[in-house]
Amino acid sequence: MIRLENVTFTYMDDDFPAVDDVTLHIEEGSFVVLIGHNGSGKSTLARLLNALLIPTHGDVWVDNMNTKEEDNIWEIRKKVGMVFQNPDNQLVSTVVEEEVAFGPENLGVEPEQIEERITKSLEQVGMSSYRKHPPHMLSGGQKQRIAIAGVLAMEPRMIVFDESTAMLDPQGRKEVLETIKALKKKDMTILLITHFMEEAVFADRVLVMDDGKIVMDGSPKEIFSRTEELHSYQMEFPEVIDLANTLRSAGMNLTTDILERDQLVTELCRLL
Amino acid sequence: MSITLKKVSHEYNPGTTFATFALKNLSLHIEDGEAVGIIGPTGSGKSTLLQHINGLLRPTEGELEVEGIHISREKQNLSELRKRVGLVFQYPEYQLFEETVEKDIAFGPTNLGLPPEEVDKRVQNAMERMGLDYASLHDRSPFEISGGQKRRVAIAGVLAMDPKVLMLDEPTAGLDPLGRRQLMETLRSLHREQKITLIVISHSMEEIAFLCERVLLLKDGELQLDKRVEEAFEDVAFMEENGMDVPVISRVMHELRQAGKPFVRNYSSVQEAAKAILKAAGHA
Repeated sequence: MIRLENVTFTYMDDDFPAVDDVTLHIEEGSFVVLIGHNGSGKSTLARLLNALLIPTHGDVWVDNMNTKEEDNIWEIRKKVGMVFQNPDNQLVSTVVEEEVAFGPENLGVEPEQIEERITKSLEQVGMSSYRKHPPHMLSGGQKQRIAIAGVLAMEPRMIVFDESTAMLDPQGRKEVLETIKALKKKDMTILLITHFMEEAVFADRVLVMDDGKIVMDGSPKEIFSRTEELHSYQMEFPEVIDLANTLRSAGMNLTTDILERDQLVTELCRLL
Repeated sequence: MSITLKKVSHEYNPGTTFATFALKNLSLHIEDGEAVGIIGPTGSGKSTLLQHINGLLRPTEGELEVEGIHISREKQNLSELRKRVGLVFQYPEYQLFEETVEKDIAFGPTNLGLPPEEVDKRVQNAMERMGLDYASLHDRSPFEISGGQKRRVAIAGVLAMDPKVLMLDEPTAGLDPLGRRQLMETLRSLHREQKITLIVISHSMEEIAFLCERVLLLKDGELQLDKRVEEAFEDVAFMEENGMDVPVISRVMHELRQAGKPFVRNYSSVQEAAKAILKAAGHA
């Protein structure tokens, strides 16, 4: 789906690159979570994936289209959609359906087809009954789901979520995560950038960035077993894993497979 | 001194078709030295409540007594109140504007008309309380330090006013995991060791459990719950009905109890839960 080859990006006036010689392949249909401390280069990397930024050195390929070629830009942005952090900064229309139609209209999609796309996208995010509502009256989680529907209406193959759950209340976060999981089931390629470690356990693959480089790359189980290393990049552990590790080191015979809450509860029920 | 709200309501656009209550008939009392968490869905009135406590908004009905100062719908001079009650807004670092960290933190106390030596003392003290190294940071630009440090500088600016009550609106939003943990620890020691009254809005139940002893749940401007933290997070169903959650560790304990395991409480911290589980397993 996406290949980065020796990609470096330096912002104008900066002495050091924000992304430093990254080579990475993201497979079609995979669910990748990207973590790293503030300033480690995550958002810059995300913006290189759909030509919002063009590498200073190296190449980014989206389905064999180089993001450097200006002719490819619209095709690439159609394929790789982005959802950002603040729901209030992303919505521009006064009615939900117009908001969702914004992308495909700009792509020149036929009106009948746009109707179909609106219906389908709103269905996918569970917001069909809000079609005629004004977006500013919705909750944070609902606004983010409308932003996702707007991206889905462009029929992308991949969606990048840049801390899209950071500003939401517990209910809103839950709604957006459920939506992301449902998209994963439909084989959407997903890159989720987050500071919430517990969101990383659902991924097929976890990437850790530090100083513009990808410093760790593996399954959630592998990544969260490398305790010292993860700490050295200023990352923390999801509390469920923290509890499991604490119990294990105190002598309880827990399997090393525990990532999620239900796994821990099942294990503890067996032992207690 | 303490904080008392008596039947406080705040209505936006009263008398029009857009009339809505941001706060409805709120009565509560917060003692000196308490640490209180405020939770609730977006738009439930949490920030509006904080703005009443430091007098940025006046109630349209009811009254407040904050640190001995009476607040009602009548206009009055509230500068004394603002000294005693500090409010840290969301993303407070957006409001940093001075050339140096020191000047930024000094802005408030200088405006109070304090003598320069006293201002210096306050700045150094506020930086120390926020875990900021004075020697290496005071003459740096607030725009050239890390995100976590910027947030601390912004909070130090409020602490330099020497408030008795510190209120923070989502203090860790947008911080990375380490920045979040460090700030939580700093705030907890401000409360525990320096006895400052702490009122914190957060969407993270883990943070509320870590920092606070008491939790208020607001929904549609009304107080739905006012309990000790450990009691509040026992009632998983109630929290969910109100669009909230419980700390993940409380949920683990809750599910173990549901499965008939012998735990009396839904401990919310990893350490407490581990201790209880190890004891139940005969490992302690």
